[in-house]
Amino acid sequence: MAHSSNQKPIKIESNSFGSQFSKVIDKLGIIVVLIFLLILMSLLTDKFLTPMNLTNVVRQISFIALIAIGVTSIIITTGIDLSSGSVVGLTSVVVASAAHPGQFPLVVTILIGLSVGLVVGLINGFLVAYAKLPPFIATMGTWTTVRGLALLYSNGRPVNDLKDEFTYLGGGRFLGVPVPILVLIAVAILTHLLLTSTRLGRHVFAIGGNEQAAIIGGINVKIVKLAVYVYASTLAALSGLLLTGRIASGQSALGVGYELDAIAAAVIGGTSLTGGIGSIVGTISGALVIGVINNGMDLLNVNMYWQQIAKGMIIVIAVFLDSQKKKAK
Amino acid sequence: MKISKLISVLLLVTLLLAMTAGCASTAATTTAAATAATTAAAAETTAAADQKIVIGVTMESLQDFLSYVGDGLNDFAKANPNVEINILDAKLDVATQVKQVESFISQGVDAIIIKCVDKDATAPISAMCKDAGIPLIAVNVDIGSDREAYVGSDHKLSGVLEAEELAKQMNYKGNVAILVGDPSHNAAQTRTDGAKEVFAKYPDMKVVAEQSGMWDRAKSITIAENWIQSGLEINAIIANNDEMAIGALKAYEQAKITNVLFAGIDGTKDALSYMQEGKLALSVFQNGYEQGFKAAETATKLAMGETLSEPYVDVAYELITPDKIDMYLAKYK
Repeated sequence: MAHSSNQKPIKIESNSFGSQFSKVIDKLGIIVVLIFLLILMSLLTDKFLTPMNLTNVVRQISFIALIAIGVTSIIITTGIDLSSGSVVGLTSVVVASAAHPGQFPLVVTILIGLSVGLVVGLINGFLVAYAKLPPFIATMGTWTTVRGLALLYSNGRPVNDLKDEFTYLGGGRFLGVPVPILVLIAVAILTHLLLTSTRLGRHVFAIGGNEQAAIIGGINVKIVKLAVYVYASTLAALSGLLLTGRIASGQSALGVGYELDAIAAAVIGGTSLTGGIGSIVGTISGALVIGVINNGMDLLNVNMYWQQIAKGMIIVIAVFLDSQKKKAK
Repeated sequence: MKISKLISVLLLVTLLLAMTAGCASTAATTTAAATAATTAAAAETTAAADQKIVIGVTMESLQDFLSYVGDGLNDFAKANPNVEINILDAKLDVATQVKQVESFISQGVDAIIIKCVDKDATAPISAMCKDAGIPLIAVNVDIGSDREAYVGSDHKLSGVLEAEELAKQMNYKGNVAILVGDPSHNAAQTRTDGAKEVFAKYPDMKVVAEQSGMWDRAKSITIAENWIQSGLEINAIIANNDEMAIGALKAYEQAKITNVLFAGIDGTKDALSYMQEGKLALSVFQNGYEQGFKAAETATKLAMGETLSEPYVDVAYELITPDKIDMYLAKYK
């Protein structure tokens, strides 16, 4: 599995802030739900627990999980990012138009794609940290603006004829593992370390726990927030880039609704919308819960209308069980 | 601080002007046209056109297929200098669409063309247009309420054409899986119904799975991957549009399974190139450009007071098989 290297429960604490000390999270909750689902699906169909199917599930969730990792960091600072799905769309058409055969070296193509996220992230970060707009409003603004830019840029048409090295990024395998999964593992480990073992990470949690205290404590809140928004949008661009490679086409409508799936994965994974609490292991587990539900129901050929209803109900139940467990502690 | 106040007011005005630029220009020309009839001086501004016809268009979206409908509308206006077309994007939102129709009515347009967001939510739009005496024309998808005309293609027929050709290529036997578009869309329902009716005719054919790919390539890859894993025996996948068919064939391609047929609808440029590579078995061409062009033509007729012999203007679906690719590729040149 993608995250086997960091599946142990982690504890996040902010030593310098007493008020934060009690907010030690136990991530076991959602992992229990995930294991329960894995067992349930294995019992319901013998097609579930095969290496190929499990690889599929992880690859299917990797695009949402990358976005969810970024949005987790933002939610920890009590922010939100609604623009990530639109960033996927804009990145898709921009990167595809720079990925035709013989146009640029692959590295340049990738950098062009990521720069879309960088720019949107800078705008989001500036609006939130410096212009002091509520994150919901600021990123709602970029959400529709960026989608509009994607349409404008592509004239609403798909951008096709992409070079093989580029589609390899989304559809290829390296040492037998799909590339998006490897990217997800790398980003997950990097972000986990950034959040838990660096000063920047401690500052992110401190801002979410108590912004005033963080300011008094000498943290440059503006810079930290800007960094978090830039990071999240760049990850959304990375996701859009990989997904564009996967479907071998740049599409302005790509990623519609992904922002909500990503936020759902973070929240299912125990990230608190009121800030200060969250972890990458939790978020990836949350994304896996959603992915396993989708995959399991397809394997069982569940009616398409029931799929939506069941998915919604299972998500609510999963979070409820998790919250009960926390309360019991 | 008076200057900064002035600047901010100026900025605001510029912003408002920019935002309403589309509507403003239409309004300006409408007035110009109206004045032209009475004043000789104003006639210069409207050049040779004795009566400018302004058509307001509200589109569910302007993405993918619908962008070709937009091209058809625009090209009709280009070919007819006395017709001005103002296209607005409702961005998949019913309320936005209603507001756009309201603003068209207050601008006094001569006809309104609608590609509805929701065919069952158009009653207020029909009522407003009727009250204002403005003809309403549905394009691409018919609306559930009163309109003067509907310019489109018979969606059920596209599903039938698609399934008949697929059945033929399968020698009328085997298991089929269906990728449905957004199940709340009429086109998805009728195309699926049409396909199922065809398969029901042949005793050796069976529909073994049906899921919604929401018209989306990325989502359809996921569904097809899961079908492969489920171990269902599937000999062909029939999709309500090309994007979903391409998604499915990509999943099978990556799993290195080669003996499955894929069918789509729309005849997009991308689909044609997959057909050229022998990966897509067939598609059905919905002539979006022609729909847009004919909708504008019909709207102009109605605006000039002509009556239609038939309120349904059909733009026929056409079956695309590999031998006809070149003809359809030429349409995108």
